[in-house]
Amino acid sequence: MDRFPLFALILAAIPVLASGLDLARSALLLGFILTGAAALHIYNLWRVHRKIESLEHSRISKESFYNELAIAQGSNFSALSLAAWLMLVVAIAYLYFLVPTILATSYMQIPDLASSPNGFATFGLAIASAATIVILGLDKLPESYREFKLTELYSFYSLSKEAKRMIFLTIPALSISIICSAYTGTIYPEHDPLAESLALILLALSAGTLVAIVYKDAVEG
Amino acid sequence: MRQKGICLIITAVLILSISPVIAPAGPQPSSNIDNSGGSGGGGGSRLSLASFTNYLESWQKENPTKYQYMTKLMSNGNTRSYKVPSIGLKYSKDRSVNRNDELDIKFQVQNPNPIDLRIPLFIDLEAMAPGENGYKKINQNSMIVQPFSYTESNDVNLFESSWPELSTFGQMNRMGVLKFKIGEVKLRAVYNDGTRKGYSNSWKFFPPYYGELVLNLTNRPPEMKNISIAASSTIRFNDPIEYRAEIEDSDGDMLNVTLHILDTEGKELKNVTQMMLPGSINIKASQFGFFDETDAGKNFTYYYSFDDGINSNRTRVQSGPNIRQGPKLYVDQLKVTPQSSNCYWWQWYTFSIRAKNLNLENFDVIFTLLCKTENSDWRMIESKTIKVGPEPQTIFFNKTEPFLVTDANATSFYRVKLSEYDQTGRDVVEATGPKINAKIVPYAVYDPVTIANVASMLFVILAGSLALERSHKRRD
Repeated sequence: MDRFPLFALILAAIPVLASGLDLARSALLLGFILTGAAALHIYNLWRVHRKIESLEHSRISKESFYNELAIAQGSNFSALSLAAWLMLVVAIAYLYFLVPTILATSYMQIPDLASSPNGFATFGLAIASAATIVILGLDKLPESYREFKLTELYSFYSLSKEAKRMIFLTIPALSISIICSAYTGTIYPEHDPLAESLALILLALSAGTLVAIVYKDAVEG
Repeated sequence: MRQKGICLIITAVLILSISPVIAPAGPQPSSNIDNSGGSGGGGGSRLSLASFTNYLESWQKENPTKYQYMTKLMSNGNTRSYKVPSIGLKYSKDRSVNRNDELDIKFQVQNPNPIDLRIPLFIDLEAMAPGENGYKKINQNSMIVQPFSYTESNDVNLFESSWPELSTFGQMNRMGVLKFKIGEVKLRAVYNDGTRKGYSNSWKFFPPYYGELVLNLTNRPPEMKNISIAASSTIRFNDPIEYRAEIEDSDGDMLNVTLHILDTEGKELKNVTQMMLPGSINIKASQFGFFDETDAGKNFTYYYSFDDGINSNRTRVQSGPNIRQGPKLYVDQLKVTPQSSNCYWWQWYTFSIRAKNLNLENFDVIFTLLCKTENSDWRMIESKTIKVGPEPQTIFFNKTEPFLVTDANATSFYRVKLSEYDQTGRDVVEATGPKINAKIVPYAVYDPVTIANVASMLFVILAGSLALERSHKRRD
């Protein structure tokens, strides 16, 4: 039985339940999960690399190791997973940086932008562009550093159809999270706890889903 | 001459050596005698040459009377050999002087007497002011010429000095020493040796010294320039009207400046006099109540008269101010009506004010609406020119959008500026408006603007991801 959904659920539950729906605390927990996923991803690849080297009794270069290990997941999946990651970054920015009630800096501190008819789109696209630049920058790293390339994250794991479907589903979930966050922005300085909670839950679920495979692989070996 | 002096001193020593026996009439040194004879009983005291010289020097400084007596005594009391000194004046600058020019008057004493016959001289300066008949002393402290102060030049004993406290004629005027007017001032020096006086104009001197110094005392009259009226182009009677000018006086005299306001027929209406030093003139009409409501529609003129106490002058008649006719404005009921009770910054607000002219005429009045909040300064929103008549009418500033996003969560204020003064004498009517709602984003989540924003953003992200992946694949 594929335990991917279970991992996704557990990972999503951590920032939601442990924070008690407190957004500032949830930001910290979400940060831990994503950082942990990055560290575990590197660890997973290092572990497999070492195991293969011990089995082969020879030294295998990282390039050939990555070439052997990488599995093509399909271009549609790659494109949609990239979109999901970009939307995750935008959803995080919308939830935590749109109104100044959670963190010290916020979009509302630029009133001319906040009141502009294109303010939301400008803000979201600016964040997405920054994330894209970082992702493309990492993509330029040498082949021996493929563990740092976000575009190749899922190439090193075997994903079930269910897992892929779940990753696809993060796109509408993140879209709803972004809309909920935008709603909290439109009603600022009032606030709607229900919308904020929904945005957080959907964001946590999506983040958990996007990194669940890394945690699952680390746990299951 | 020096040998003669030494002989006299020796003679005096001899006389003094027998002084206990033949006591001279007059003052005697009593305590400082050098009793070098010791304690010989009845032998008297002996005075050495050095001690006597010391005596003479100390008397010369501290007791001139005693010193004069001694010098007379030493010359066997024969004053007929004493020759009177002569004194002259020198002035090296231009003879045409101003009251503020520094005076550099020197005197020279020519004393033909040997040092033993010389007597201290007290030198003063006397002046005859223009229009006066007699001389008057103008220095405060006499200069004292001591017998040893002379320098010998070509067998003539000369002494030259000046009166340090003499500065300018203007200062003498101010100190009340002498009243100088412009014209010829005659100056002469006078000495006094205690028994006789001598005047410089009794001797004939040659340049650069003169027995009598004649200076031509002149005055530079004040000048006025840059005459103007500072006021708005269309002056109302109670607008700030300021008369400005610059007055200069090269002599730096205290000046009397009078502003004369003339009516439409050129008759003097009012005047204001100021005593001032040269500089800027600023006379505010409101301070002196030059104009009132009845002056509306009249064209006034003005001129300045000024003097420095000697020369007086006046400017040409200048035009202004031309006070325009205005309405007698009455305003009330300044109001604001927001689009909704939420008072969002992006909503429209209608402002209104009621106005009428208390005179029976229609008059164009400019109403200017300005708004601000605690977070911003006054901003001009709208301006209207309305013909205001005796019938009350409400002036509306309809559906204005006076606030900015930065005004959110701040109390608003609004004012209407009038081109005329109202019944209270002000040209601004002001009131506090509603507190602007703190909401910043003017669009609801279901607003097409928000939907378009979020949808376009999501679309761009999706499309961008697909494009990136395609380019990535093509590269691989």
